[in-house]
Amino acid sequence: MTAFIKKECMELTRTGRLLILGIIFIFFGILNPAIAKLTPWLYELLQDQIADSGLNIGKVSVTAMTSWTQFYKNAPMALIVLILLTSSVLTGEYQKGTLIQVVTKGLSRKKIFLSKLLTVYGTWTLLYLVYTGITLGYTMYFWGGDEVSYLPLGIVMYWLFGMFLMSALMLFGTVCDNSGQVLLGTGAVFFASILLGYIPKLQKFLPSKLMEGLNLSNGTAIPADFTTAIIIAFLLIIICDILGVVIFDRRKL
Amino acid sequence: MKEYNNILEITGLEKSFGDKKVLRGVDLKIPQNKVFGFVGRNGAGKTTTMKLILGLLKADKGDILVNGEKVTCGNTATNRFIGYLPDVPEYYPYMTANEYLNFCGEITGMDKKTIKERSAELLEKVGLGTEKHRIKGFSRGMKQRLGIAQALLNKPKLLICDEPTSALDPVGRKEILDILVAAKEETTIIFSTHILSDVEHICDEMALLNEGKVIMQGSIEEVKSRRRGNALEIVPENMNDAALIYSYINALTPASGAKSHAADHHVPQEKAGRSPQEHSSSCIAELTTSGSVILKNEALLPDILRYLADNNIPFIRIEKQEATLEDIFIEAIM
Repeated sequence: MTAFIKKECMELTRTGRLLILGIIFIFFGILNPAIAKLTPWLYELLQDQIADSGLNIGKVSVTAMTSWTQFYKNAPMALIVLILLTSSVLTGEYQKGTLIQVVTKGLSRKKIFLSKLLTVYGTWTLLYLVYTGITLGYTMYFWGGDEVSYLPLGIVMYWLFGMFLMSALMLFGTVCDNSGQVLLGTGAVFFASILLGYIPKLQKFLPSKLMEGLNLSNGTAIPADFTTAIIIAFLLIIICDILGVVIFDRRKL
Repeated sequence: MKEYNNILEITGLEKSFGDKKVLRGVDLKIPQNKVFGFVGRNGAGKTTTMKLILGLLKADKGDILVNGEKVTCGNTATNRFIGYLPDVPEYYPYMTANEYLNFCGEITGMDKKTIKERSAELLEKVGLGTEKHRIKGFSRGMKQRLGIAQALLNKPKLLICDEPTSALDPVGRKEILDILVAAKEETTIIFSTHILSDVEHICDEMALLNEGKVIMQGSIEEVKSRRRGNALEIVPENMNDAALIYSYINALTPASGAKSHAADHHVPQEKAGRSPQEHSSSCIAELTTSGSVILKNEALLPDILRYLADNNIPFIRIEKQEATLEDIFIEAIM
């Protein structure tokens, strides 16, 4: 299994996928505090125009919260790029037929699927760490004194949401024949989760609830509000993984 | 480990895709250390049979034993005996040949030292020993050669090659055939193809698959002799003499001999719609446009030799006619 994980990592680096993802996650990571930092300057720049329209701007105060607000706003973009670039992780192999030689060499399908799953989880975790680390570093540097409540919980919840989408993506990878279908499926899960969120009664059960870590920090929610969503996301991840293994064992390569 | 006489035994194998019945009861036995030609038209079911042997597809009916163990679909343990070269082998383009073999060795569970030694040996054997580029830039022939190297890496007892030469130019084809002949020393090779000259060149045994059934199996000699039909070609020096010989044979046959020969060939006379005499002579001899006579019954040879000697007819050669595999193939499937 380590051999296959090694191969997956080689694929990530040599195809340049990790480089592109790295650049994007670093870019967004820097963007969060940068936007916060630049906000007062931007307002100042536009002050005259805004004043012409009859609005008056007082002193704009920027805190660590401004930076973390950007963090939650930009995270979906980074996640979408990751999904786009990861969608062919299984289907690419079916289309080229590269797994046939691997399977006939005696590597079990379970190990192939789990290796891929671990690599995908690992990639998301690593990139998310970079993204979070950079935002955290700059935010501490600029607004070190500011207290942001429940920040770690919010960050971990968003990570869990990413893990859920990655699991869904891998499950679709075992069912679909091309990456377009995988994207469609994963996208459908993503949007269904958000759309269902408009029904207040369902809200607390949905994995998309995990994206609302900001509410913890600005005081509109307490950790207990998220317990159900966290448990359900965990269960869904496990279900996706088990289904993935079972389906991958039977599918035609 | 117990050695079985037959590395592969297939009994009553059936497989359908939807309504289409691809295999209708294939039976096949392949002895150890042979090069076995698996011949059939495109779509005859060769690739399907191979995929079933590898456990990549699930059989509807029938059994496959590899080295005495039953093949199951999915994760079949029998694959540890098998090396497989797909018709168009696909690799990870970002790896070098050596890295790919290393990867294959690791997933098969070979130790590092063996992988290194075996990779170097095999890459040398297939002519990729000095190739340092990534597989991305490999030609088809190079990919095919790397395919053989990866298939032989863990010293399989059975090497399955799916049309390894079909897509290659004559030079590439010869290279692959040479490598396969060399590989025969260490393994049994099943080699599917529709290029019959390849089978004649390198195979010891063959099976002909048509419409989902094995319709002929045996050593190349056996298969050929089954259809040889004892024909002799007589080539006189003078083209005109051919006609003389032909009419002599005709004169020889009408009475007792003709009838019995006609019966030998199992052609009902009524169906042929000709007189018995015409029919029998045309069955026994044939005048070719190149000025030779094909004699289809060896028993008449002494008479003809006597005739040639008595009449001082000079001839270039009298030769037993070998049926080519092509003839046999076409005759068998038509």
